[in-house]
Formats: sequence, C-alpha cells, structure tokens
Amino acid sequence: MKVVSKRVLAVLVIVALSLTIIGCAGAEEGADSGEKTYKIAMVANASIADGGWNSACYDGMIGAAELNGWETSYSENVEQTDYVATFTEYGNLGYDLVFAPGNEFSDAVKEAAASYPDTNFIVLNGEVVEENVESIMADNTMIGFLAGTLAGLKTQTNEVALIGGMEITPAMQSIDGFEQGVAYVNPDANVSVAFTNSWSDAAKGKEAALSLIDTKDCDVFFGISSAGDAGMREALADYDDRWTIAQPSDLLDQFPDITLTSIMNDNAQLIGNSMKAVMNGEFGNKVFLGGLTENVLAIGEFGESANDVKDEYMEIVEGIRDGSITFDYNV
Amino acid sequence: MMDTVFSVQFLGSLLQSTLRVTTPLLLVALGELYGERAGMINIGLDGIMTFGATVGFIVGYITVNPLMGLVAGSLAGVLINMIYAYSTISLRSGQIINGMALNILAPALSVFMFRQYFGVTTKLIQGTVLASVYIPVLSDIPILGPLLFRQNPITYLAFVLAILTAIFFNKTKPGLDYRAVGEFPRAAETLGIHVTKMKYIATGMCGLLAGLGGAYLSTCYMGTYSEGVVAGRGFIALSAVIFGGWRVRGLVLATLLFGFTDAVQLRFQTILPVIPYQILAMLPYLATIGALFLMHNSGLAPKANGLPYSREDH
Repeated sequence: MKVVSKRVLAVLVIVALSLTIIGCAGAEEGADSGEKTYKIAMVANASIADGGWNSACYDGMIGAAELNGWETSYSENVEQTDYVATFTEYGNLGYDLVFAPGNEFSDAVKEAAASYPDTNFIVLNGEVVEENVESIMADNTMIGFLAGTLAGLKTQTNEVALIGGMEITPAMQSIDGFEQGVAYVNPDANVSVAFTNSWSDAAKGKEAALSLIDTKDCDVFFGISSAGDAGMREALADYDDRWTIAQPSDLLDQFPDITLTSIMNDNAQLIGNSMKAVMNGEFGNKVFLGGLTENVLAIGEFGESANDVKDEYMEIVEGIRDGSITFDYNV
Repeated sequence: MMDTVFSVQFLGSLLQSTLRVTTPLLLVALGELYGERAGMINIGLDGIMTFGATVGFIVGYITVNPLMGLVAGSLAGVLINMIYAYSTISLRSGQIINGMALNILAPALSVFMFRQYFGVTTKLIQGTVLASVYIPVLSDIPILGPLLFRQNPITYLAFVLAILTAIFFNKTKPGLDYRAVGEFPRAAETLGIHVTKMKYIATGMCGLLAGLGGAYLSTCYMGTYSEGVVAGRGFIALSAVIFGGWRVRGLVLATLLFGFTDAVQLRFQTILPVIPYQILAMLPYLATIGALFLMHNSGLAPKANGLPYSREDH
C-alpha cells in the first residue's frame, strides 16, 4: 500500500508541475499580447540538415521568418506514428503556423487541424485544403521542364539522365516535365531514369550515376534524390564531358566544372506567402502553386560549361515565363 | 540490349561497382565475425559505422588527410563499442539490447558532433577523398586490369584482412583459443585463457573494423557526409555473418553476392525500364534471404554466442 501511495504522489507531483508550466506559458502569452509575435514550426521526418529536401525547407522557413519577423521552431526525425502527436503539440503551444514539408503529412495535418482551428497548417506538395489548411507547392512539372530543356540543349551523346530517390508524386511530376522539356528542344535525345530507393544514401547516388554512364553513356544529369545527388555530382566530377543541373539551391560554387546551372526553388517565397496570408487573415482553403512568375522558381548562376547553350536556354526560360512556351500537367 | 550486357566495358564496370559496394560490408562483417567468434553478438554495427563515418569525416576534413580520417574513424568505433563491451561483459547485461542502444545513441551523438562543428548546413560539406590506386600498364588490361589494379587502398585492405582472418582462426593457436571463448568459455578458462580479456579484445576488433567501414563511406567512397549515409549497411553486414556461416569464406561470398546484385539492379533499372525499380531494388535483399534459406547455417554458430559469462556461475 505504501509503495502505491508513493507512486500516486509522484504522479500527482508531475501532473501539478506540468500544469504549472502550461499555466506559465499561457500567462506569458497574455502579458505581451500588445505586440503579437507570430510563431511557425516545421515538422520533419528526417534530419533538417540532410543537405537536400529538408535542409532547403528549413532554410526557406528561416528565410521567410526573418523577412516577416516570425519566431521559428522545429521537430526533426519524427516517426510516422508520431506525426499527429507532434502537430497536436504545436497546436497546444498556440503556434500560428505549422509547416509540414511533404504530402506524406497530409492525413496527420487534417486530423490535427480539425482540433486546433486557431493554428494554421501548410502542407508542401500537398493536396489537402481546409479552413485552416493550405497546400503550397513549387511547380514540380515546371522544374522538370526547365531542367529538361537545358539537358536537351547541352547533351552531346543524346542520352540524358534523371536520378530520383523514390517514386512519389512530386518526383513523377518532375520526371514528366523533364521528359517534355527534353523532347521540346531535342526530339532525338533519350531520357533514362534511375532510382536510389533512399533519400539519405549518398553512395547509392554515385553508383546510380556511374551505372547510367556505363549502360547508356548519359552525359547530362538531373538529380532529385536528396543526398543521392551529392554522390551523383561526385561521380560526374571525375569526367570532363558530363554535366549536371542542380536543385533546389544554387550549387554552382560546390562543383563549378560540372554544374550547368541550378533550378532554384525559393521556399522562403512560398512560406512567406503563407505567413502574409496568416497576418492578413486571408489564410485557408486554397492550393498555392509557385512557378517562375510567382518568384518561387528561379534560374541560378551559369557555369562556364553552359556557355554554348546559355543564350538559347534563357530564351526558353523567358518563353515559359511569359506563357509563349507551354507544357502539360500529366501527373 | 544484349550488346550492352555482354560488352567488356559493361562487365568491367559492373565488377568494379561490385567491389566498391562490397568493401564496407566486408570490413564490418569481419568485425562482427571477430565479435561473434568470442560469443559477442553486436547488432549495433549500424550505429558504430555511423559514428566512424562522422568522426572519420570530421577528422579527415580538419587534417585534409583521408588516412587520418580512417584512423580516427576506426578508433572512434573502438571507443563507442566499449560502452557495449562494459555493459555486456563486465555487467553481463543483454547483448541485443545493448546493441540496439548503440544504434540509437551513436547516430544521435554523430548528428550532435557534426552540427557542433559545421552548424546546420543546407549544402553538404565537401571533404577529402582517399584516391584509388592506379598502376599504369597493368590496370589497362581489359576487365582484370581495373578490377585488380585500380581499386581503393581500403578495398585491398579488406580482402587482405579477410585472408589473414581466415588464417588466424583456422591455422594458429591464438586463433583456436579465441574461438574456444565463443564455443565453450568455461573450458577455455580452465585452459588458462583469460575469457573476459579476450571478450574485450573481440569487441575492440569489432568496433575497429565497423568504425573503419563507416569511415570508408565518408572518406573513400564519397568525399561528402550526409546524415544517414550508412543506410542500413550495418544490418546487411550482420546478416552476412550468419549467411556466411561464421566462416571467412562464406562471409566474403555473402558480401560479394550483395554487392553484385546491388550493382546489377542499378544497371537493370536503365536497360530494363519496364520492370518497376522497386522490384529491382529488392534484388540484393531477396538474394540474401534466398541464400540464407538455402544454407541452413544455424548449426554453425559459436555455441556460446550471445551468452553472458561469469567465472562464478555453475
């Protein structure tokens, strides 16, 4: 009996303490309500420093927060089973905006959003929309098309390659755009696709690139496999007649010899757009698709190796921007 | 398509790729063999590799010397495996749970160290790479040339180590003493073998080779480090020891089979795009399971594998 009562006491103390903490948090918020500081949190299912997708998302959030004067927070390496709990936690803490960087979070966001109407949620590459949920996405098909046209212009062997991580919808959109882009400028060129089946296995990206060179003699590579892209670039750096188009940030300075240019995906614009909507009270019930005209996509610096195709390529980019060149959204 | 598959260049590059993929697996599997031959099952290989890869990369980056990175990565492997050694050998707690603990602790510690040093970066940091050996004339022989004379030094090291390990365990008295610890530690003790010391040496070797295998990934295979670079290779190595029947020869074949099927599946993705890549990506794992199923290796395991040992127990 004595043991049990001690345990009960311990539990009671813990409950009391946590209630005090929650109480304090609430009191603090009330105190400085004169000038509200908006808060955003990102929930990632991998590391925020993966050098690829999550890094770009995290950077975008930080950039947007700096521009708009928001506070930030993040949870990383969150398991699928903990998605809802993590979103709920941020709802509890009274965050104004929760950033879910991927379509895989859609269901969990939907579930958590229903219980926390005062917290807004954005799902990158998602499809869900609610009163307090928006889906935002960069135009993946356009990213693919932009890369594809440059690859098609540059290739000497008429064999170009795309290395993907896994077969998810944004990847399929990019691949679709890439194939259309290549065909638009160079109907003779052939596109090969390989998947590393991982987002973190950099070495696999290297093997995939080398296998594409061996089997098809591919010479222009576009990588959308996160960490695998780094391996791909290392493999290409050993050659002087193989090139790559980087994404999602400007990577020219890391591999200046092999990088033609970068298709930059400005997540800060995407997220900043949602922040403004929250501050103006216009948030909710829409899907925001960002391309060249929305300043979400941009072309980075050109490497020396792109000199022969640069001008022709920029004409195409302008054509896409002003709508004179179009492509289809098949995926 | 058939022309591609049977060309000399294709075959050469396929075998090259096989050796690149096999090297870290072989090193780590040898490490686990040293452990299990003394009765120490360590499922924390993946964690040790991660730690070795991180420390190896950071030291290689600071010293601009990949060799220093490899040495540091190996030593880091020994160091972190001593946690496992102390709790399983001296405190006699469960080996599986301690291995699991390493798999949780080591990657977290790695992330912490890496971010302490480099901060949270969006671009992968570029470090140094240990260049492959290139022996002029000989390496120009078709297929065999690149295979034998144009490899990373660590690949040679892995295979030399495999041969030495086989000799050690089968042809030398210390090797037989060592195996006795894994088979029947009490009998070994009565023959004057210091079982506890032997087990510490075994976990040290395991940490050393697993750390080296990890460091190979970040200083030889690639010049960059990304979190999660180990990508389950520790578990593949672990299964290679079982699949190889706790024998060096079996273990070499097991890791080569995995490396070969992995290299094949990447090539099939491009020459046979009609097959969904998910099925091809399963190939190395299917081959491993299939081989395990056919081998019936369970009887070959060291008899006292995984059991705690104490002099006082009867």
